[in-house]
Amino acid sequence: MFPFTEAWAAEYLGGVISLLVFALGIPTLILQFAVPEELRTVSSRRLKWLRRISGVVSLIAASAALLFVWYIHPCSLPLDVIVPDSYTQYHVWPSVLVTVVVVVILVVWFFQTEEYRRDVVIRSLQKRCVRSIRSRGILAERFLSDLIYLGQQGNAGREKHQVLKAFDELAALLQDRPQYVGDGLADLVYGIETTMMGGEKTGELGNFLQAAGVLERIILRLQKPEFSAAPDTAIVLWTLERLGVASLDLGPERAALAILQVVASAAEGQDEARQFASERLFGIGRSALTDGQHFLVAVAALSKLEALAERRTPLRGEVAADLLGLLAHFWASGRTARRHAKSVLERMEELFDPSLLDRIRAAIEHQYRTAKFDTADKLGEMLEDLARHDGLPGS
Amino acid sequence: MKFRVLWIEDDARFGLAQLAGPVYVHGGYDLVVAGDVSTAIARLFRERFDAVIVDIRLPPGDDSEWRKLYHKAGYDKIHARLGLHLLGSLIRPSEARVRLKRPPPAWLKPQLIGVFTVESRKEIGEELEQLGIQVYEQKRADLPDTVLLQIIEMVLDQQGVPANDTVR
Repeated sequence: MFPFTEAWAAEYLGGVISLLVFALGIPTLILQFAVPEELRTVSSRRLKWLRRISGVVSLIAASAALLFVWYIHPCSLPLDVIVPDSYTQYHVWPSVLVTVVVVVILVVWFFQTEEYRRDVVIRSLQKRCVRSIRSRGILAERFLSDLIYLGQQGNAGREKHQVLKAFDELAALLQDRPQYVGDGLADLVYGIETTMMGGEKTGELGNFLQAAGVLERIILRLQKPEFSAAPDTAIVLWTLERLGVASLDLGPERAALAILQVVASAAEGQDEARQFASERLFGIGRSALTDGQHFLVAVAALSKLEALAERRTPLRGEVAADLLGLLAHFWASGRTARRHAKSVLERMEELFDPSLLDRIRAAIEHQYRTAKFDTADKLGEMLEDLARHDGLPGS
Repeated sequence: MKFRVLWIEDDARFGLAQLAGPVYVHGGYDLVVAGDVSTAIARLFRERFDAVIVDIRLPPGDDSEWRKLYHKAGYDKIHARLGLHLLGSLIRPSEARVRLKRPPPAWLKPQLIGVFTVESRKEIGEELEQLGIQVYEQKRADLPDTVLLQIIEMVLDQQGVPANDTVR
């Protein structure tokens, strides 16, 4: 052991403090700046065990560092001191020790930063969800809510894509279980909606198309006789309507058109979903007309609604009310939109039971009962115009 | 009853809105769009269509076989020409590069198909002829907005369905 002097003690203390600052401060700073807050939040919830291990490793590393500094303390030996052979050995062990310490710190760091990578966190949460589905048949709420949180806070594009992909695979796993009865996807579907538009970061066009694809696959898996009028179909259709309306803000109509297609296909595969799908088509079409900039989406919604209505004639009930409701909004949206409404009415007039005017009256009642007063008013205007002209103008 | 039309198009170059608009306004067609080969195949097995309009430069979608083919072409839609392979699998399955997981839908005949693509007739004309596909239109900058509607009507025309010319 070397002589303990005041200079040695000061150098030793300085060295130890620098090491501590480096070991604790730098990693914290890097995490603070390099890892997004949502990942730190989720990781800190999930990685309590890692923090404990890190604590132990840090303690060992700190002790090793202390020993290291003790052995090769920076106080130089006086020139006249004859260095014994054993002193050389003192240099070998500290070198080994310092290498081990550095390696241990790097390994811990590697695993720790790995655990803060978004895709790793998402995969790990997905695995835990898969495990809970396999063992208990349900999605574990805490892991799912972490996934949803990451989806909501993720940036549009790749970050949201990763979470949507996880939802897609989880939905397939849940629905492919023999125990699945068409119920139980509400939280997951809510997760898709929250990922897309639950916070300040709304998804981009690609995300909307991907979400539409995920929901379409859910719908397709629900198109079996045993899932007729399943609650999950209704939940998915509601979500599609909200996504469709939100996608209007994106600019390009592609997402809204894709969503309309998925809504329509739900009704194609399941007759029980027809009425519910018609309401959603009406909702998206009405929103597209309201902002006055998305006539194409409105026309597409009307076209899908028309095709859906034609499939079961004579036309009556809520499907007829939705179709006429959307036509009334066209009727009130300017001359060209009215022209389009007229052409649809002319084509479909014969299909209404008992007559077009009676169906409009019934639709007004329906819209009134469902608190869609604006639609009821527009239907009233259309009815007056049609009655004034004794049927369809020009027919 | 509306005619059901499947348009297999990934919309990479041409505006969907611009071309689909006239089809929706026409009112006679129920237009369904499939953005990749896997989605298109799923649709074709699920539903019957009166006309199928196919692009040649298509992405593969989820199906592993189609992804493999796409991968071999260097992840390049232009060289992969998956639309042509898709048509081969649907019309001449025995000679196709990719075998579908089940036999192609019996209702799907070459007369129901139209090709709408960037490739010139010189590039793909021979293949289309072998497949018996007559309706073809090249995507160019000088096309009218109603081109998709016209292709649909050409496909229906060849099946003996009179075209509704009120929009043209």
